[in-house]
Amino acid sequence: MVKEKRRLFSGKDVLIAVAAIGAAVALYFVNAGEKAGTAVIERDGEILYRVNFSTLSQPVTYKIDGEYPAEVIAEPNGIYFASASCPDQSCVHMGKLRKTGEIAVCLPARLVIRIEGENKSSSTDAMTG
Amino acid sequence: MLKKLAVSILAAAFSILLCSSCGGSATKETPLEQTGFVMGSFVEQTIYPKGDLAQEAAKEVTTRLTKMEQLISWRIQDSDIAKINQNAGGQEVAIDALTFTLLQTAKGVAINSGGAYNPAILPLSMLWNVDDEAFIPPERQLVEGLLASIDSGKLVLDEEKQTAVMTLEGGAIDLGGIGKGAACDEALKIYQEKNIPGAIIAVGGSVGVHGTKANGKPWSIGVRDPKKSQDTALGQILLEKGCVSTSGIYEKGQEIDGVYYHHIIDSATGFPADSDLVSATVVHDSGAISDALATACIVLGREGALPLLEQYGAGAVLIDQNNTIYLVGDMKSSFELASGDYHIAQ
Repeated sequence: MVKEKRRLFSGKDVLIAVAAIGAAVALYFVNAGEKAGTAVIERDGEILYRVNFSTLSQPVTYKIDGEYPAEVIAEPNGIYFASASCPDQSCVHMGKLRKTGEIAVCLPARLVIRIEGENKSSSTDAMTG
Repeated sequence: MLKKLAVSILAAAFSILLCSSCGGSATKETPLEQTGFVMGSFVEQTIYPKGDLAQEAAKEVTTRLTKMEQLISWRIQDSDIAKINQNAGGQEVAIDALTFTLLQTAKGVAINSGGAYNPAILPLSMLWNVDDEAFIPPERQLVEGLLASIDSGKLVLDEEKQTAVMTLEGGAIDLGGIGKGAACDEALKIYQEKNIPGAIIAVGGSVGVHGTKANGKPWSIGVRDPKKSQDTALGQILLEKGCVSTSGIYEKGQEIDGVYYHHIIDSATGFPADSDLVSATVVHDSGAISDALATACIVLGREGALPLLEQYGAGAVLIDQNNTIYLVGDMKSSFELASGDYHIAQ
């Protein structure tokens, strides 16, 4: 009886390796968009508040005065315009920002909330339209 | 057992490799991001790399755009344009060189587009006031009564004296149709003056690009899906230089009694433009020209827009009501469609 020559890697091993590498790649892509470290609340380009998500254990409400008062809520997993007294409400409709590079703008109040970070979740540099 | 260990080590090494490469390049490419507001639009500057020079350029852009708004917004009392409008039918007004150049550009596109882009449409757009919450369509008689008051040919410019006059009484100029693109032009000049390696600016729906990103890839500009929310792109334009502007009938529109009214008014009829196009994205070295041409395309429709775009050597992404995308000039090779809801005409 001739003993079959053992290969270094069997089919099963390759499968495990592929799965492990696949998991690593998936993890990389998930991380790229969700490394939400800090968010900023700005008016006219000036930073009013900087929010560090890692220090939040419960929601924090920021009340912003002005011609169109607004309320921004920061939670451990995101930040959003909870209410605004502007006519179009498009800032409120943007919903919760969770990923790096996401932004919500209130044009009448000249307010911006955005998530800072190095790895933008969006593949584009700007939008036209 | 050994083999399993070898596999695990291999996988771990691979994942470390992935993470370290992403971390390294991201640090090199970190830009300065500066937001702001000008001419009723959101401004976003992204300047590479982050640092004192970027900060200085961003600040200068903000200052220059605010100054530009003070000159060309018809809403601001004592602006050059407000003065021209107050003196309509009367005296010439001495204006800043920037206002003069923009009026020249605007007049040029107005002539070449046969009035499809019209910087003198203000009396009519004020009557329509489509973005008003309490919008009611105006009576046809009122609309037609104003058609004689919107002739941009009655705007007379004197290059030597740097003056302008609207010779038509009741006439009024509005540079809002090129203001966002012109703001991009001003920003690009500053990035050039300051030797910024790479920067991109968005003013409302207009975008200008300068230099290159650290990774050397062209800038990627998302084209908004006319049927979806503001931040949803149907595809992207890869751009190495110049500006992009988009006009669309989906913006600031209202439906009343089954009729859809939008803000792009056709000077020929006095009513909102009714062509086959719902969105026009135009690429040109000049932001002001790209902005004016985008509006003209919506009014003219695809057939009418093609010769105009060719005359200016402009690229374009035109989207019609049947979700068909027409690519013009450079865009045939620089546009990438990402949505299955649209198809590119062959």
